This record gives sequence, C-alpha cells and structure tokens, in this order.
Amino acid sequence: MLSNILSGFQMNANLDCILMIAFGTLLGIVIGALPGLTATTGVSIFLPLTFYMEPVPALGFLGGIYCGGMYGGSITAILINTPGTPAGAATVLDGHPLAQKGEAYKALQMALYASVIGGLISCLALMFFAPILASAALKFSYAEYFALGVFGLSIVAGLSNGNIFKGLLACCIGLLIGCVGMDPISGFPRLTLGFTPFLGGFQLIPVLIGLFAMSELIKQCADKIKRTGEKDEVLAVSGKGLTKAEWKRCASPILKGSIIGTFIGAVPATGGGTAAFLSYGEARRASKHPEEFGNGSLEGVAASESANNGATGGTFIPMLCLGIPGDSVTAVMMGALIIQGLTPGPNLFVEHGDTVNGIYVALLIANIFMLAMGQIGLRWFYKVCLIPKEILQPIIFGLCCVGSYASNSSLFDVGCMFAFGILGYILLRCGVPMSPILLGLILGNITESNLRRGMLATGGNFFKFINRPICLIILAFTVFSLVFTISRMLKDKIKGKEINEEE
Amino acid sequence: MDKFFKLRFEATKAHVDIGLGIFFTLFSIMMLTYGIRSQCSISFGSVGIVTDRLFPYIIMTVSLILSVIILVLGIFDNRKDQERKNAGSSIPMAECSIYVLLLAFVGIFFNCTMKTIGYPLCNVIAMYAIYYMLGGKKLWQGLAVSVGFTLISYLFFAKYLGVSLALGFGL
Repeated sequence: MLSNILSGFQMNANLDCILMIAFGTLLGIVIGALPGLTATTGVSIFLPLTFYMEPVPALGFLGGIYCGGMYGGSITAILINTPGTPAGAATVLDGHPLAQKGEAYKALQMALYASVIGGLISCLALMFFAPILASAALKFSYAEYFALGVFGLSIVAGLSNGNIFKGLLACCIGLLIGCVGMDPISGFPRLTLGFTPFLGGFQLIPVLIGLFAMSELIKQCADKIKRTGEKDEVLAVSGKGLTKAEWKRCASPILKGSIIGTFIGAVPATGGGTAAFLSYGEARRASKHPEEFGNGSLEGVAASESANNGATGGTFIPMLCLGIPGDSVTAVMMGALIIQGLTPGPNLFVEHGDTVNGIYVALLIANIFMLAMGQIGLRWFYKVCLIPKEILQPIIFGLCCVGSYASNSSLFDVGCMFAFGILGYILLRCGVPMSPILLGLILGNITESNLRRGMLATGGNFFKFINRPICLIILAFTVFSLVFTISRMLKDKIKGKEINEEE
Repeated sequence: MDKFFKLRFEATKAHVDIGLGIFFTLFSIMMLTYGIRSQCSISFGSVGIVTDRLFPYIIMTVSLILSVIILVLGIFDNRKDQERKNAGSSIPMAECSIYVLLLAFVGIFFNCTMKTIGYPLCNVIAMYAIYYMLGGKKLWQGLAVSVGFTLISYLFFAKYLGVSLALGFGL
C-alpha cells in the first residue's frame, strides 16, 4: 500500500496537477455553495475542460470539484437554510438553528473540519480496499461481467427516488440511446434512421451536459422566473470558534460518520445524502443530549458532514474496481475516465495502476486543499450565493454550449446537448430521474457485448451461459434487490404514502 | 413580457403518469413490431437469436412492461385524486415552464448561426437572450457578462486548447 501511495504522489508531483486539483476544489466549493447547483452539475459543466489534460490532473480536477462541492453544500445549508447540494440536507437540521443562535462561525468550522476528516478517512479506505476488490474481480469472465452490468443497471432502484418503474424506464431510455450507432460486435449501423451523424452514436459529453447541466439550467431558470422578487435571508457569519470541549464531544460522531459515509458510499447508488441521514440518526441515538438535535447541535453538523464527504472516497470503490458508479457524480466521472481512454474495472488496476494510485492521492490532496481554502474563505464563501441568477445562468449556458462543442468541434454535438437538455427537463417534470439514463448509456455497451459474446460461445443457450456460481450470486442479488424495492414501493402506494420523485 | 416568461403548463401527476405510460407503451410496441426490424440488420456470424437485434428487443420488451405498469399505476393514482378532490384535499401537480420552448429557440439559433456569424457574436446574442429572459434589465450588465464570458472562453478554448471556434463572416 505504501508503494502505491508513493507512486500516486509521484504522479501528482507536478505544478499542473497540483494547480488543477486546487482550482477544482475551489470551483467545487463555489458550486456547492450555490443552491440548486450540485456536484454532479459542476462535474458535468467542467468535464470538457479536461479533454486536453493527462488523466491524473483531469480526474484530480474533477475529484476536487466533487469533494469541494460536497462541503460547499453545507455553507448555504447553515446560512440560508437551503442545502447547496442534496447531500447537505441533513446539515440544515442543526446548522441553520446554530446560525440563528449566532453561532454560524462555529457551525461552519465544524462542517469544514468534519468534511475534511471524513474525506481523508474515505480516501484511505479507497486506497486499502479498492486493490483487494479489483484483484478478486480479475477472475471474472463474460458471464460475470454481464451479471455485473445487469446489477449495475438494477441499482437504478437507488437512483430513482421512490418510483423504481420510472427509474427502470429511464434505464431503458439510456440503453436505447446507447444502441444508436455501430453495433458493438458486428459493426453494422443500428437505429440510425439513415442519418449519417448518428453512425458514430451519441457522444457521451453532449448527452451528459444536456441531461445534467442544461436540464438543470432550464429548471433553475423556470424557478427563478416563478420566484421573482423573493429573496433568501442570509444570516451573518457571527460567533466564536470551536472550543476543546466541543471538539471532544464531536470526535465520536465525526469518526462514526466517516466510517458510515465510506461504507454507504461504496454501496452502488446510495451516495452522500443517504450516508448523511444515516450518520445523523446514529449520532442522535448515541448522543448524551439527543434533545439538542434539530435545535442546533454541533454533533448533528459533525455527523452529517463527515458522512457526506466520507462517501466521496467510498463511491470510487465500485466505480474503479467493478465499473459500477457509486452515485450520480461517479457516473459522470466514469464518463470522464472513458473519455481519457481508461475503462473502469479490475483491468484498470493492472493496465493503469499508476494512474489509479494518482487518483487516490489527488483525492487526498483535494481534501487538504479544501481544509486550507475553507479555513481562509470561511467568512467569505457564502457571498457566492448572493450572485444574481441572471448573471450566473447565462455563464452556465455559455459553458454548456462551448463545452459540448469542444469535444469534437461539431455543431451536431451542440444540437444533441440542447435536445437532451430539453428531453431531460421534460422527463424530470414527469418524475423520470436522469442518473439511470446515464447509467444505461454507460453500462449498455458493456452488458450487451458480454451477453452476446457469452451467448455466441454457448451456441445461444442462455442457461449454459449463466451456469457459474459468482454470476448466479450476482444475478440472484439483483433479482432480490429489485423485488424488495418494488414490493416496498407498492406497499407504500397501497398505504397511500406520497412518493417524492423530485431529484 | 415578464408575464409571458412565467407561463407554465400544469397537469396532475396522475395525468402526467398516464401520458408517460401511453407514450412509451405505443413507442415500445412500434419499436417491437416495426422499428427494430427496419433499423437493425442481421449481420454475418449471427447464431440463432444472438443477432444485432437481440439487445434492442430485450430493452423494448422491458420498456413495454414498465410503461404498462406506469400507466396502470397512473390510472390508480387518478382514481385516488378524484377521492382527494371530493374530500377537498390538494392534488399533486406537475408543471412544465414555457422556458423550455424559449431555450429550444435559443438552441436552434445557436446551432444555425454559429458557423455563419461566428462563435463570438452568436454566443453574445444567445447569452444576452438568456440574461434578458431571466429578468435582467440592465443593458450594460448583460453585455458585460456575455461579452466578458465569450472573450474568456474564446481565448481559453480557441487560443489555448486549439478548439476550432469559427469567427464567422469568412474569417
């Protein structure tokens, strides 16, 4: 492990790399602090900037946005009672009451330190566990890869916010979009409608920017117009810093939160939001003062922030080792890896071991930068949420246009970006989530190729093809998770519980 | 003009689900019966059912099942909405802003004009349009944002990264 870390430091030991990680972290904090802009949107918007970079600085830059974005969400959660990112929702419960009591500075400090500790612990877990899982996954063949692909697609249950059927339908849309272009085995054109630009299929970048950034932009613009005249009340960054006694009291929730975050992050399709609420619940259960939770408890802020940043490293484990993204941000980052010519999965550790080590260390450095920047900007970062939307949204629009054009210097890609942005917005309004579409698009090719290769080898007999223990276990687990989620959803529906389909 | 930008289409969530279900049911049936056959050829080396059409058929079959379930659940929700309406409680609604159409127009404008009038001018106009649609009233502020961003992005992408961003007018 030590040699891996040293090799990772070597990969990051140049000014370009360090500057890109620092810039990414700063951007991430700013994006996270802007209500409505999530780490996923941030990574999607700035993904095109990484085309011309080496893999490690590129992934370090995006990793910086991810880590910074998770922390940045807490700033607005504490000061304006609106989480900058969904993962910051649990921080609102205690962060804002603390700010109302005039202890905003203390809450912001705790959010920063808990985030950094959570992030660092999850990076160490990533360094330790990822190679072990990857070496086990090296023994996989077509059948196991197909089963993993199906399992990856079934995790939409976790990404589809309540209505699993719409999540699965989104997955089918993604898979169908992925089918357009050349067939992966025969190379024959498929579903192209005789239109030449479709021969190459839909490029990942414009689809990604359209679905995650442009659709979000339309949603934000519509909300802005609807809420003209309304202004969020921003509380002042007042009060004293943390005392030793408060540190001591919060040490346990931070540690537990970091471990919970890392573990939950490593479970595909869960991510920081789930981890933060689980950790918050555990901290309240174990606290000597549970009555303070919800009324301004520092332990609550510590637990939720350590967990949501703890998830950052955890989500990389299934993405790097198995090629299954841990959450929507890692789904986008998986796209970034593919664009860099690296295929996520166990072979990545064999063929590009140094790059993987570089990514670990880049995440570690991003957390250290986050500490430094957060400390310096603790009293200033909230000002970004005062930037008027009529200034911010045109800039995001400009970035989406130039970003989707830059990938291939093609206006067709810009058109695709707009088309997918509009499709994304309409589907979002219909309660269809975006992340499964991306998942379908990314995993479709792998799943289809392995299914067909495997079935060709067995003369078209599907049962012979899946007659392998690991494959069967993965498929059984997939069926179990699907049946469990569907039955739970149907039970809730029969009981008359409202399903929240908002992303 | 602000009133126009605030326009939105509203429907109950149950109606939206029914619409979504009907659309994807019809689409899946169309693909299964005609679309896949006409758009995917069977290449050399295919064995039995393992052809170029296999995966699209699987996807569309699953899609058909899912869209029928969404449709049925939508009808179920619609009945519950009627009961809610009779009881005087609120019904979950979904809305779609007119903004989506306006942005589509900006997108079409950007796509159609970028090569002829060039990236700088086209981007400034498109960004200013977004600024105006969002309620920005100060001409100088809108121009400063759009011109400033366009200049920086042109220098970064075209000059630094070497992306071929057209200047337009034959330049």
